[in-house]
Amino acid sequence: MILALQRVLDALSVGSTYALLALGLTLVYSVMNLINFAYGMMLVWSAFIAVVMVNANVPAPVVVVGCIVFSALLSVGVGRLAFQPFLTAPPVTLLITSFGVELVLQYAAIFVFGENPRILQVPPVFNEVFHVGGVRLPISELTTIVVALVVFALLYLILNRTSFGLQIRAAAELPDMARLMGVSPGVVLTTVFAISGVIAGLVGVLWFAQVGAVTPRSDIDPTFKAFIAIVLGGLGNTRGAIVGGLALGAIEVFLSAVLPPNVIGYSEGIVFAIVIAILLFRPSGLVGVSARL
Amino acid sequence: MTAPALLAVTDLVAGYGGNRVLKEISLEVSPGGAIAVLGANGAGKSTLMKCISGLLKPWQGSITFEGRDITGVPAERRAGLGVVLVPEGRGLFTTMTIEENLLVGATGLRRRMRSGQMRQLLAEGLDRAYDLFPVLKDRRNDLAAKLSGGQQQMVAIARALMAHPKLLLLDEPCLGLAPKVGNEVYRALRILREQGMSLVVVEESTRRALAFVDRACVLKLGSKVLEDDAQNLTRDEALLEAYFGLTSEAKDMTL
Repeated sequence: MILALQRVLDALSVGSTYALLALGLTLVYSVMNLINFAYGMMLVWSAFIAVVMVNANVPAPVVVVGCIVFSALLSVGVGRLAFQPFLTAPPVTLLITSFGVELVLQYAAIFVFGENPRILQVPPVFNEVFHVGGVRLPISELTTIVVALVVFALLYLILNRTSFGLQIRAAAELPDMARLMGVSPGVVLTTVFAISGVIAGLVGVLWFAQVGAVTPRSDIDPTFKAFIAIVLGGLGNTRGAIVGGLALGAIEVFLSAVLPPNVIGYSEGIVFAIVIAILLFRPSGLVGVSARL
Repeated sequence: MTAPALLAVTDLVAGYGGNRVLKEISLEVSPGGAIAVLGANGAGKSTLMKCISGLLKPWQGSITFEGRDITGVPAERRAGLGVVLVPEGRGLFTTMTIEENLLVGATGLRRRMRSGQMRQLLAEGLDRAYDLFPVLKDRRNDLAAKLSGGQQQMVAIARALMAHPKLLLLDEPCLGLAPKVGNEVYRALRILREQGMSLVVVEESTRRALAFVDRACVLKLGSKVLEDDAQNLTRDEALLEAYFGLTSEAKDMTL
């Protein structure tokens, strides 16, 4: 029973991280059909900025805010410079563009920080563990879950209770119709890239604080996890991203609990096989493809 | 027309890819006037509406509104200027509630408003919409996808009104609606005319449109082949049908 509770907590924590990742990606997809392969580099850059600030003895809360601001600006800049000009181009053009952006950001990081891993020092409290009735409650996991809940709630409020959110939802469902109503594609894109960047900045710090170190090539893992999550949950809507992220986390934690030690090294591949099996039965994902953000 | 035109379309040429759809169309709408654009399927009526609303950039020619050349103004700025299109097929946001649809309709006003003014305009706009279509008020929190065709058309019109337009463009507002429901739609349009709004109505069926507007023009294969006062055209309705493949209400009845 206690073991089961422990697994649920672990799954929630891993799943929240994936859900956050997926949210940042799915928002941009929903309004411009962009499969953004450069997304993971936002996290990597955010982590490098964190490393720089931590090494300069900047207090932790300032580091987090700094990373969020940096990542949001980077995301908006990339969105306006690299993606917005191709807004009406076929999705493949955008996909290839995103590969280009990924490489540019990657080599810029190599140029600035070098290829070697940089350690991201976290405040000692982040590594502490509570024990409640035999269940381990690591601060890092609790932090992740709380951050995810706060982001989910804020995003829900933005999308459903603000004019910007309404405009984003309109542009996501019927772009031309939204324009006829006065919704500016430029404003929507900037808003969406900003939100995506804020999430990437936040997850970047969380992700690499748990991994411990960052290199310019660390982006593949989070990018893939985000993609799997949004495909598993259902492309282009927030519920799909959250459900997909949580499901992926649950699958991973479940496998690590039941796989024998000599097989566990292959768990990443087995996760994929399970995801594909699920998609065979539900081709449009657990939640389904819906125009509802 | 004696008064200076509210909308003037001059020698408009437009199309898709290499396919020329509109061939030097000219058209004027006087302030408070209503004009019908008639024509068979494929005559270029919807293309003309796309040009006036800004979704399609014309190859040649100009569009002026209130004396200002708006040919190069992007679609998202035109609602704020007072030109709003209710497109063919209504284009409702099906994932939103009725009221959310209406609120999106007011987006074009935001550019020039402070938040206090905006809140007041939104409240006025909603009141006006629900006065015109009381049935929408009771259902305002329902998803737009759940409505009947007629109610969806009401939402589409009400949403366009949220931008406080001076000129309302309607592309086949009665498409797919039962004749009785279509009459409801025209009842609402008549009220808007009485309030001084100018309208352009695109229709395939002639009778209801001609009874509503004061002028009408007929498009055929992208050219304007006829323009006259609605009264004169009403007399020649049989001719219109014979020559241009227009359908009268008889066809609507069978829908």
